[in-house]
Amino acid sequence: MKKKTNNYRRNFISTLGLGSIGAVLPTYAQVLPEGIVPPEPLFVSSDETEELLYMSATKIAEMIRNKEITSVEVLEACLARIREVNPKINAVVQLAAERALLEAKAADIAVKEGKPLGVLHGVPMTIKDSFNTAGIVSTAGTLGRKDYMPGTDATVVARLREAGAILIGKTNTPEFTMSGLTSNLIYGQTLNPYDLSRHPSGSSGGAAAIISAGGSFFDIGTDSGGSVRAPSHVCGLAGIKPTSGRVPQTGHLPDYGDRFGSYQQPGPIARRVEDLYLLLSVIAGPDQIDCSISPVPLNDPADVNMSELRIGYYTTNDIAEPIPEIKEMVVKCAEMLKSSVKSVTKARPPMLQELAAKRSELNSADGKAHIKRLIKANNTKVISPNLNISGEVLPAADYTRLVEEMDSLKSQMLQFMDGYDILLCPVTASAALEIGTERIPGHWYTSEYNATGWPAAVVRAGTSNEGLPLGIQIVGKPWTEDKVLAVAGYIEKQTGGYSKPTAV
Amino acid sequence: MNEVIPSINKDKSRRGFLTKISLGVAATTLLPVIVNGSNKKILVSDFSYAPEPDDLIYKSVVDLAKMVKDKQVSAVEVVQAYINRIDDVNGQINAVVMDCFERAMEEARKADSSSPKGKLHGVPMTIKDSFMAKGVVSTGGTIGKMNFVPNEDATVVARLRKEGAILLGKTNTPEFTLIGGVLGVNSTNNIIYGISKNPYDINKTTSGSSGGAGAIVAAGGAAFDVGTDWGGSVRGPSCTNGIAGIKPTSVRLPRTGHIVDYGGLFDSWQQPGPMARYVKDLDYLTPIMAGPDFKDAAVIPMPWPDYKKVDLSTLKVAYFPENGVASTSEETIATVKKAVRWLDDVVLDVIEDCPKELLIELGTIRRDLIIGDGWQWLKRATERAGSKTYGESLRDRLADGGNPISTAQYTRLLEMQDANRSKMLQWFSKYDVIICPTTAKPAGDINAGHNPESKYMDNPGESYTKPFNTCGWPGAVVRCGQSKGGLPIGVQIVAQPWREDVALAVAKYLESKSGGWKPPTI
Repeated sequence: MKKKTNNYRRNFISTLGLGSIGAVLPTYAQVLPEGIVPPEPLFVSSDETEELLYMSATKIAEMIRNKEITSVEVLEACLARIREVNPKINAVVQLAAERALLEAKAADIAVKEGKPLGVLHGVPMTIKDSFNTAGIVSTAGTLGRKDYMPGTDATVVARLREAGAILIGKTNTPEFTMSGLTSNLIYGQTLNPYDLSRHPSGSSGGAAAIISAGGSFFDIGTDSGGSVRAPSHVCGLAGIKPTSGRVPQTGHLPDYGDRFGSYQQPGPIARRVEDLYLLLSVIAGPDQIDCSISPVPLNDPADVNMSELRIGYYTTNDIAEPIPEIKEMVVKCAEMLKSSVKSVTKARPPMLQELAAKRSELNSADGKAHIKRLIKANNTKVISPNLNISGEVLPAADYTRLVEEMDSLKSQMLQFMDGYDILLCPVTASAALEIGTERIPGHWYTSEYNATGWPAAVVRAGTSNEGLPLGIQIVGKPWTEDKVLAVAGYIEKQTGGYSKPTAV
Repeated sequence: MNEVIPSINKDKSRRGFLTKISLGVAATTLLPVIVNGSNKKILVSDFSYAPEPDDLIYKSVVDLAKMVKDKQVSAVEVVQAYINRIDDVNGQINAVVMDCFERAMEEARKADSSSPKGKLHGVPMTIKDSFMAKGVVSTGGTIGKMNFVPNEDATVVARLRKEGAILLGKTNTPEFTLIGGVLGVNSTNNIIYGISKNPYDINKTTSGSSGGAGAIVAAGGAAFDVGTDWGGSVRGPSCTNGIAGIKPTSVRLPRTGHIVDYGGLFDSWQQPGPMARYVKDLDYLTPIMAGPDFKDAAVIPMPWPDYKKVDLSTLKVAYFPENGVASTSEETIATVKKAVRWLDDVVLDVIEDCPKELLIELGTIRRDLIIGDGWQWLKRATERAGSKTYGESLRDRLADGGNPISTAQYTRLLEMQDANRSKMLQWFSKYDVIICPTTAKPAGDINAGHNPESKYMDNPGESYTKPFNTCGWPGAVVRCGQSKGGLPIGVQIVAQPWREDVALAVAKYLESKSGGWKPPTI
């Protein structure tokens, strides 16, 4: 197999020479033959933001490369912002300021010396605390890992650092990421920077809160039911859950493995849609450890022909009726696409309710034994009140039947999707929920697309009557992140997308 | 854990080989590129291949398609030749269990009077009876479907016919492709059609489950067939019938319209795969059938890699002539070693390395998953098919009841399976190719009787193939030798996921050395 020449990510490591970055990292070029791998794109920013802390990662990377600003300056601004806002929102739970500063200095030297630079050279990032980060406590919100210090980075973290990103800290997550509320027994509750009496949603709530507050340029969340998309929605950000099998989960807790593993995907959260493609192209592809990853080429959203797209949209799941502003936003986005796409039709996939019910049955068929095993394996004695481990154990014959029924539903969903390229719909039924809100059935419009494994992005496209950000969900056929991101970018351009919070 | 034993020719590294060549020891006619400099690639086009027989019934798919397209021969002539051949041999081998000759001739006439429809214009094929074929009885070897005439083709069948292939008939398979009547899937037998026989010795089995397919393609009764492989069912019969076959990477081809279709716990194990006499046909046929059909939800839109571009000189090959699990015949071991010696002449490195503990762990988890719900998944399959009477081995299994466990234990097994797959992947990441046996022995005796070893589908004989269903890696087979009794022996070539190009390039090279498929005596 041919190795890529000019592999600047790899060069970066050797020039930086700062400690362990992690395992060997196959990329598309190493697992696919020549000719099938699309050429590495040039990431050019079209972000017009003037204020440093709220710029896109793509733009900051460009400025660092062009010597318009140093990595140290950018990092110091982020650290100052984190120190300013974090006491209010409790998003960043571990800070690695000293190491980050060393890396930023090294990054600036590399720029000065004209060394080959990664696409994220010198850009500060935070990472959800459910990912292992070498040398930084990584708890996944469970008490048994309160002081756990991994020796190696999770695959996605290693790849980002290899591309030049600088890790400044870890962001809060509920225990094992298994809740829509970002709270745990180690670090407590994270709050929404747009309204400190509200949730940032979850489970990637710490990630979303700190990015919208301007303390970090991007974060990597994980999404097994909406954990990238819902926080992106209520914190006014751009985020994407990639197609199942796109991004390795090696070094995440819970990691790859078993049926439930296929629901979960790591995905980037940032302020601007342009960052999602850049970040996805860095973290995607097999690592020869996570056995469920396929090297399907990731295409450039810029190459998508919008005029061929067939768009479907729906405003309600008929279980939890969204607030009027959300329904209006979905219709407005569908309307604004009309002039540029092939067709826009009101359409909702069949079987959404059945799919949700089946997933819930599957999830509890083993009496939550898979979660109990996690608790035991991590030596956790006391668990969070929001971690649900109740359930009756069914015989395996029921389980194999449920899997067959789920797969049949997935096929019916796919047959519906054959008629569309993109679906637009709400992310959840409301803006950020107030702390103390009870669980609302059907509130989340996201987990169906974990069950199907389709890619789904979120971008801010509206504002609630109370002034809170509202995101729209953009769902595509499997492996068409390019189309999803093209439409997300289009909507962002029309609506303005991210707008900085006023509460912090 | 994984014992790495240096190659039997450990000093014959690439460099050693080059030195020898430059000393003028090796013939330079075959490998002129190497002599001129080490930067040159070694491609399959650098090797010479025996010309195909003139006889239409022994031609390759690629050549037949070209001959019909160029009007060197009519589709009617081709189809008639193959029908005649089926008429001649099928009485002896019982491979084709339902024909549609009249429709085939009609399609051939239409093909001759129209402009070429696609890549398979006028090429005759048979299809394993577990696939639905529109208008042709499609039983899957189970009584409930004995008179089932589908209204539509399975996706892969529809795609082949769309390219102009002409269906001659259906080929025998055990019940649900999983349950052989006599020897597990070491044979192809069911209570509707009986047992298929090996064209190289009609007292021997065809292996299974695509045994009808393997036998009729080897005998020249079809240019190709499409089998399905859940534990070795394309590769086993390709091996014992001396033809070429490939199980593609998991989820490359849709299973829609197959009797064990998409969905369920073992979803990812199953892949359809082409079976033909020549390796180049596998490369020609697989991409025609690959890609999403928007029904089989697991299928991925992966580009098809070109085996002609594979540089053999860069490949690192792991091999094991036996895995320590199955009792493997001397002739099979010798055939694998011979193939490895051929490869050692061209590849970067050849290392004997068998991940035995991982393979044993994999087999145990696989068996426990299969029997862990008390065969209820199989019982539901019989209910869907409307079968109330079963063949002997299915009856035995349902009566035995497997080893029912709780879902809590079952999800634990699934976690273990993925952990094992990850370990397998990490082991394999050192290599590009695995060379090993396909079946432990050449074709077995027809009258061997019921094999109690296969009770839980953990017949050690399948231990060479099923790991690559669990892992999802592509595995090709090509004939590399034969037993003293003249039975074909194929070698299995496994490549990294999605690298069918690598598997086929190695298979093609081995075909150039061994001659590959040979006409049977019947």
